[in-house]
Amino acid sequence: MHSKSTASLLYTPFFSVLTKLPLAHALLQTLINRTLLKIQRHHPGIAERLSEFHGKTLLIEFSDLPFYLLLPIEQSLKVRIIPNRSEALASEPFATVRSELYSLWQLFQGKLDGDALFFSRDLSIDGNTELIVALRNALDGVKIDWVKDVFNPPQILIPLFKKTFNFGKFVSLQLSGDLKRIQNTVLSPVHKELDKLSHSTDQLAERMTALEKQTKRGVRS
Amino acid sequence: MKSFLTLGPLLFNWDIKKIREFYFKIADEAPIECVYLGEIVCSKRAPFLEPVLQELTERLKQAGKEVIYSTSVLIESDKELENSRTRVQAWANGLVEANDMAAIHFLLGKPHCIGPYINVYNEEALLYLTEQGAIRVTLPFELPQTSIAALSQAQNRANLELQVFGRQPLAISARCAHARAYGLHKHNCQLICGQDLDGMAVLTLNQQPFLVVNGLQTLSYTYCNLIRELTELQNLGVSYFRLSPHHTHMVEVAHVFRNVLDQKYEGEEGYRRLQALLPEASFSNGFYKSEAGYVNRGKG
Amino acid sequence: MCVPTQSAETRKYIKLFIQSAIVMNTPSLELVCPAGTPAALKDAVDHGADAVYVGFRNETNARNFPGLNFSADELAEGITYAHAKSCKVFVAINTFARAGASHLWHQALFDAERLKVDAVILADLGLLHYCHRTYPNLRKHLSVQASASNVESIRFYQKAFNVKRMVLPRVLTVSEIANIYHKTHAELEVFAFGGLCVMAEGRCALSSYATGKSPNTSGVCSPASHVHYEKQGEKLISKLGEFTINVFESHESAGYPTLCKGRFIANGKPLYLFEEPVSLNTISILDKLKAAGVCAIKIEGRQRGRAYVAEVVRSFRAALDNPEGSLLIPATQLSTISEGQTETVGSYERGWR
Repeated sequence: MHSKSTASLLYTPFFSVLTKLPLAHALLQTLINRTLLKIQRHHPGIAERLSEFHGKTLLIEFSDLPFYLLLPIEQSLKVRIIPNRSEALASEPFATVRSELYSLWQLFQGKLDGDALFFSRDLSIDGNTELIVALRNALDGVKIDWVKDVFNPPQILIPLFKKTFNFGKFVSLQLSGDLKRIQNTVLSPVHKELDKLSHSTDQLAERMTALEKQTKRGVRS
Repeated sequence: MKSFLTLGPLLFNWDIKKIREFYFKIADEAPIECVYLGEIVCSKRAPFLEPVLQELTERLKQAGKEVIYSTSVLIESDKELENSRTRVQAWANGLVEANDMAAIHFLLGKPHCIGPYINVYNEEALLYLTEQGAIRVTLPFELPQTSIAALSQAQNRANLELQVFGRQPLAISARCAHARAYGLHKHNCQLICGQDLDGMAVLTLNQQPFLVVNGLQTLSYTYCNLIRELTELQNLGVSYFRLSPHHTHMVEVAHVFRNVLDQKYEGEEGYRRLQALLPEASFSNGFYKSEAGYVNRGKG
Repeated sequence: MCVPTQSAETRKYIKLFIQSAIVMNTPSLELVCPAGTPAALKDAVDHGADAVYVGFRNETNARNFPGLNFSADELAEGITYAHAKSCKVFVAINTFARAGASHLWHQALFDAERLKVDAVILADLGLLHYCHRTYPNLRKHLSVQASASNVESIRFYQKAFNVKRMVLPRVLTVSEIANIYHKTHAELEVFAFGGLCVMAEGRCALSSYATGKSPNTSGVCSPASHVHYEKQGEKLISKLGEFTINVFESHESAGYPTLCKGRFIANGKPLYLFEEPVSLNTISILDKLKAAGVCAIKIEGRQRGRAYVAEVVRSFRAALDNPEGSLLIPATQLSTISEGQTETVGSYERGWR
């Protein structure tokens, strides 16, 4: 399910362009940083919770995107988009976090539990674990109101912005990916029931079709 | 101020023959002033020690040693609680050392000792316990030098004691890891812990020695060894120095500590002698040095 | 003779009716929920917590994790928010004050009293004594870190410091809990969900042995500052300081290297020596806990995110409000956020020991 959601993302024309062109990188970087700035303006607590890590850099690796994000921890948080790994590593990140875009995005919004993500190995970390834990806690500690805190971008960026932001569609796919983990625990009886149900639904549908056909034939004849 | 050498309660599950021989030898040969007796780790082992407890006590007292009864670390069921109460009340040989809040409750208002399993981390806890009748307090294993210094400066009538030799108890559980490792259940454990005289070694997956398990208790793999810090501790005002019994040359170990306490030779010399006595053991003093407990730091 | 017959359906409804009548006549279990941050506090309150417990952003509480916890100002806001929705706020000041530095812990108590928290959760004898003398009207709960595991200890804390509620260690069986209630009539709070300490709490120095920091001294266990992950081919190695705590094959769920949940070699073979990386989940035995005299259930996990808090609180709220109908669904939702993604009822059932 994960690969499917990732694939569908990468097939969107927006992203296939975005991931390759330097200009698009610059645009995306501006976009992210404007967003971060606005979030921080409304939630100064984020920087405060990270104060002991000032001067360190976090590397964010997307397992499904061909670029890297560098996040130096400063009073004001800003990212840098780096197209290749060697360049990203050259800045000697204090810690690295690696996952799919969706998972990281969900995590960022506090919708996904970071520990659960890690336990299932959908997220991996390197270097200083404490920084990642602190960042997670700092972001998790604020409730970002996307409309109020963030949605006020310059007119020209609105279409792009909306497209980037419109990940909601994929959330359901993400959730269905999580289901595989539930199966071997308590959900299996429910699944069996569902299987039965869907089986009988299929049967019903078949019968309906057959009946419809019969009816049509009846009408014709 | 006089410095006393004590022998903490035996933590391991030795058979009675070995226990008698061990304490008789301590009585006859070890320069130790005070011995703590009692099964403190597992209530299932207690019935085996019971029949010889009085005999051991008398033998040690005849040798001029103070004998203190040490209570269980973890008390859960009412049966354990009642057993503990009965033993405390029946003890007519002197002081009792409390290792659990229940035991403190039995002993309130009477002179008693506080064991290292009671969390005395600060001056207020120390003073409170002293007000309730504690006359000697053995400090928790993980306390650093800075805390020991602060506690010894607190206005306090209780004497301070510290374990200076032996594997350090790190945790206690209702669950028996020893039985688990042998594929047994706690309720039918066959007292399997008796097989490992100094505890069962626990290695990391890459074969690094890490901990030892002793029934319900988990201890450090390393032996705490503060012989190089004895003089400093004496100067801080600690007056009782505890050796924890091990399946090794305890009498000789006691002599080395006695000699350093009496300034017959330096701590460094004592350290070398302990290394020679226990060539297999790795020593540590990390807790004292405000570091990870397994760390071993020399002077400087 | 005519024997009255009931359909299975009718019997089920009668049973349900009787059960709900019983439930309605006894006060429900108080749902005590974790909040590591102001946002988590709001989520916990909104999803139906009866009380939330929090800590200050320093070593005075046992979840002193980077980026977590509350400043005094944040706590003040949190209390206003919670109280407006009839939710209580407890403050955990449950580490052991460091000798020579008690002022930090005293400040925490001062702030808690000043901000009118509903209770403080304490473990340290020195601090309990200080609080009892200085703030006699401040309600005191005994932290699980005090590890009061028997009747006599609980009586001691009741008598010595007028402690109202005891958070029981995660090592007792349901019948032992019932016995404690029967003999002390103390308010009893037990852990219902989350990480499981296999060792007696507040008496464990495993973490400081490996890292120099322990729950008692620094408010952390297996601290992130000492955690490292190494990739070795397909294997993922988790280390705490110098020590390998676990090695995960590619098909295994990974875990945080909490020392007592590690895999070690003992008696010649590798095993989860102390405890498997499982999570406690009592949702199936809430009725038994209540019958044993428990008055409040506690969700562990101030260090876990908002997503966790929201999910667990919602599930337990549903289970408490509708004990018959909601058992299955919450359990399935909860399993994904459990550590190791497997669950146990832990010591509450005797087989665990």
